[in-house]
Formats: sequence, C-alpha cells, structure tokens
Amino acid sequence: MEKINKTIKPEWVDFTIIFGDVLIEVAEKDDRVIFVGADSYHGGGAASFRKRFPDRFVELGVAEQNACGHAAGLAFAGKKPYFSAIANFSTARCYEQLRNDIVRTGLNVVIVGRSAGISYGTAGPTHHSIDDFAILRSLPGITIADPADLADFRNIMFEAIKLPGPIYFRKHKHVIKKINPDNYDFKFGRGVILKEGSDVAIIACGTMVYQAFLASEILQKSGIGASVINMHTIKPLDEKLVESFLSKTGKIVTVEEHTVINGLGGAVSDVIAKLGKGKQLKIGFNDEWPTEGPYMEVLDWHGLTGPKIAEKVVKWLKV
Amino acid sequence: MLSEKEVLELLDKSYKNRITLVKILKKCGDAHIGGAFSAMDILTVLYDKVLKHDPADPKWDDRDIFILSAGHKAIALYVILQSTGYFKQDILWTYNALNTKLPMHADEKLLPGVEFPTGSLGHGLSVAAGIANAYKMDGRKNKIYVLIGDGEAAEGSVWEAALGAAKYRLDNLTIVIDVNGLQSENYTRDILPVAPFEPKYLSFGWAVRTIDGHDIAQIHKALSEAPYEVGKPTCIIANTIKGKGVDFAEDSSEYHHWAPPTDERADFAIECIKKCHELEVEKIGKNK
Repeated sequence: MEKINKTIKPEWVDFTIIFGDVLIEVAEKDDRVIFVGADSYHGGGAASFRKRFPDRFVELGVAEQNACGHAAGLAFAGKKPYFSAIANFSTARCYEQLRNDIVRTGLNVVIVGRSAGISYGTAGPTHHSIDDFAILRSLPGITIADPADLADFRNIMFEAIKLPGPIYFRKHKHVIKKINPDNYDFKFGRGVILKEGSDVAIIACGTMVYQAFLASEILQKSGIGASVINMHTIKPLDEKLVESFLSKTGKIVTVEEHTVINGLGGAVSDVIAKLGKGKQLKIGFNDEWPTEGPYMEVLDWHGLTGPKIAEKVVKWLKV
Repeated sequence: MLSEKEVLELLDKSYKNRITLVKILKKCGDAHIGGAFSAMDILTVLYDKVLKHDPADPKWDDRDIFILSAGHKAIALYVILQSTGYFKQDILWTYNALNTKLPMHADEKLLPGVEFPTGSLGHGLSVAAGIANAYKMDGRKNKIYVLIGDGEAAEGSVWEAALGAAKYRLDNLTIVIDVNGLQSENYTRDILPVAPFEPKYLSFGWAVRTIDGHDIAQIHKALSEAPYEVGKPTCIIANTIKGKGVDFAEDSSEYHHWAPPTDERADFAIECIKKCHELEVEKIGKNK
C-alpha cells in the first residue's frame, strides 16, 4: 500500500455542497435510489438531485420522525433511500424510528448526518452533533462511517447501498479534500494506514484524520514516530488493525470530532479491554458541551487541531 | 356488499377468534385484551374479505400490506393469522414463552404474515406511507392498510405521517382508527383529548368515513370501497368498545391488559363471548 509521506495540501471540500451531484451518479447506476429530505435540500446539497430526479425526491418537511419511518417503508418496498438531515435531526430527533423501523428490521436505509460534529460552530449545542456515534453504536447491525476526505465520501456514498443493512455516515462541511493514498482499497470495517511510526499510533476518523496527520508531523520533529490510521468505519471496527498497532507500540491515541464516550475512542477502548493490554489516550470532547464560534476556532478551543493534539500526545507519552 | 349469510359467517369467525384468544390467555398469561377485542371485528373482516394475501406465500409480490401500528393488539393478529392458515395452531400455545414466535408485540422476523414489527406507538403510519409511496412510484396496485388506536393518535409522529401521506396523494393507503375511547390508564378524553378525528383528518386532506367498528357490514363496505377520492388517502374512524364481547371487561381500562386470574374466570369470559355473539346475531335478525 502506498503510504503518504509528504505534507498534505490544505485543500478543503464541503460534502454538503457536492452531496447531490454524487447522489446523482449513484442514482444513475441504480434506479432504486431515492432521496428523503426534511426541509434541508438546498443546505444539504440535494437541490441538483431534485432537479435531475424530481420523481425520486421525497420531501417531508420539518418532521424527521415521519421522514425516518417513511424511509423505512420505502426500503421495505425495495427502494434505496438516502435520508439526509442535519446530523442531530437524522439521528437523535428520530432515534426510535431509526432504532425500531430501520436498524431492528435491518433495512438498507442510508442515514446521512449533515454538518455533523461542530460544523455549525456558531449555531450552538442544538445544532452540534458530538454524540451521533455514541447513540447509534449500541444498535446491533448498523454500520457507522465517517469520511476523512473526498475519496472516502464517494466510496461510502456508492458502497452504502450494497450493504445488507442500515448505515449512518457524516456529511461534513469542512474537510480535507485528499488524505487517503491514491487507489487505496476502500472497504467498510477496514482502516487505512496513512503513515507508520514506531512510538505511538494515532487512530482518527473524519475531519480529525487530517489533524492527526498534522500532529504526526509535529511529533516527528520532536523525534516521536507516530503511525496515522484513517478509521473511516467506527462500526464494525477494524479490530485486527487496532490489535496489530497495540502489538507494535502498546500505545494508541484516538482522535474524533465527537465525545470521548462511546465513539471511535470507546470502540478502541473495547478492544483494549478485551485484550487486556495496551494504553490509550482519548482525544475528543471530554464529556462537555462544545463552545460556540467559528468552526476552526472551536476545534482549536477544544484542542482538536494538529498542534494541540501533538501537545497532548507529548504530555501523555511523558507520563 | 355482503350477504346476510356472509355477515353471519364473519361474525361467527370473529367471535371464535375471541374465544381462541381467551384460551391462549388461560394457558399463557396476559395480553392487551381490551384493544384486541375492540379491533377483532375489523381485523377479521380485513383478513377474510378485503386484504389480498396468501398464507401459503406470505411474501407474494402482489399481496396487500397490513401494518398493526397499535402493536399491543398483536394477540388478535396472531389468532387471525393462525385461523387463516399462516401457521399451525400449536404455536398459539407458546404465546409469551421463552423464545416464542409470538411475543406480546409482533415480530416480522419470527412469524410469517407479520409484515412489520410494532409495539412502540406512532410508527406504523409513517412506514405504511413509505411503502405506499414506493408502490405508487412503481405503478404497483397493492394496497396498504394500517390500524392505529385512538390513544396512539396522541403521538405527534402520527400527524406528521398524515400530512406526508396527503402531500403524496397516497390513495393506495387506508388507515383504520380503532376508537374505543380508552387507553392504558383511563378514558382518552381524560388523558389527552384527541377526538374528534373526522374534522382533523378532513382538514389534513384525507377522505374520511365514520363507522360502527362492530358492524360487520359497515366495516366491509368502508374497507372495500376505499379509496373514496382519487388522490386522497383514506381514513376510517371505527367507533368501537374496548373489550367488546366480554361484558365485564367492556369499556374499562382495567382490562386494557389482563390475565385471567383463574381458569374459572377465563371460562366465564368465554361464556360471555358466546352470549355476546348470540345477541349480535339477534341484532342482525331484528335489523332485517
């Protein structure tokens, strides 16, 4: 596998803008694909899909419980619905519909969390979504993914409807355009090694993969070799990969734009607990409500940027 | 329109279903008997005369779909599915047992004929509307039926779904509201007044009829004539009596959920059902 060994160009992409165009590509190949929305198709990037496939565009208004149940019904009848709303509203707001009607039944509904994490930095806690993995991860049979770059996003969008059951993934607003190696092999539940170092392994997902990469560069200057892994699938977790890095360094850092409780960090902790060996530093939101402000500034405030991550890792390794 | 003979046959089936239900309780414990009995006539007519289905081929592509949104009434559905041939009678006697196929709320993974799992209230109409919408998109003729309770109608998701179904002109979708006027704790009018349903559904853009939910002929006519208007989903408001058929349990929230305390009490309930059946037959004779 080709490893990234040079500095990544900070070029950004907004999945909430390109979502509709990618969905058109998916829908052109599969006529079962339907979009289900809850009054957010312009902001969520689905306007182009509406124009291209008006008959496959279902808009149910600010009524996410119904949209979620409706998506279940569409899937029951053989459709491949992509239900997209602001992350809180496609998960927490309609949690029970999601749990009973989609996940319990095992229907292949694609649930999309628009602007997850703290993408809506200034909008405050009602619009932040740092608990979406946590509330979904305990549901048997769901796949949970978090794309780190455009290639991950496209792969998830195309592969989602090939899964036997439901999937939730995040549709970020501000994410690095490319961090995965060229022609990497995307598979749900299979992490991608971006860089190898012998002192510590940083396992990250989504937007934090790039920040982890930046942190590794800083660490390298201090003589600390850090592996960087893009764990684009939180569930099912690539346990073998976690295990292999535990064997190599015994020390794992997890980084996520999510609470440290029951997200990526929680999933890795479960592996460590099962094996009974290894140490872990969990980086994310520490059982706290994020503050409000511009996105990158909020990330930095909570220590979720490369330099802050590197600082925490150095401190942790010293202890 | 049903002949008098057909009405009497259906009535007979419905009361036999009630007796079977009490026999299950006598052996296996508790169930939401009040709601099961208020919905029994509706479900019996639906499965016997209206719903296009094939017990020998439960996943038949051309079948109509029924979702019991008021999932607490599952025991009524079990009795009907068994009597129409979906599974052998001995399975009925495993109700509520460990690893049963017949838990208190129906599970589609366990039992043929159960289309969708329900139990938590306010889910069925959204799912049914999604199915109806997909079938419309594909030009399929299958119809979709949902039964909800009037207590269940307090769930906001029911009304979200009602709006969505009207928007998408789902005239292949029929909802029956089993208005027995009671819910778990008390009369619905005391817990949260949700009636009247007719003006609400009319204003939501549905075609509406109100019927006596224990009148076999009215039930059949209302179900079989749907849709009443092109481009509108159908709402049938069925006024019913909770516990219908067992006079000591009728119109009482005490029998929302019940297990016969003794075999004698179960036998007495069966005697009540037989008596109620006779009275209903007499009523039909007098109305000739």
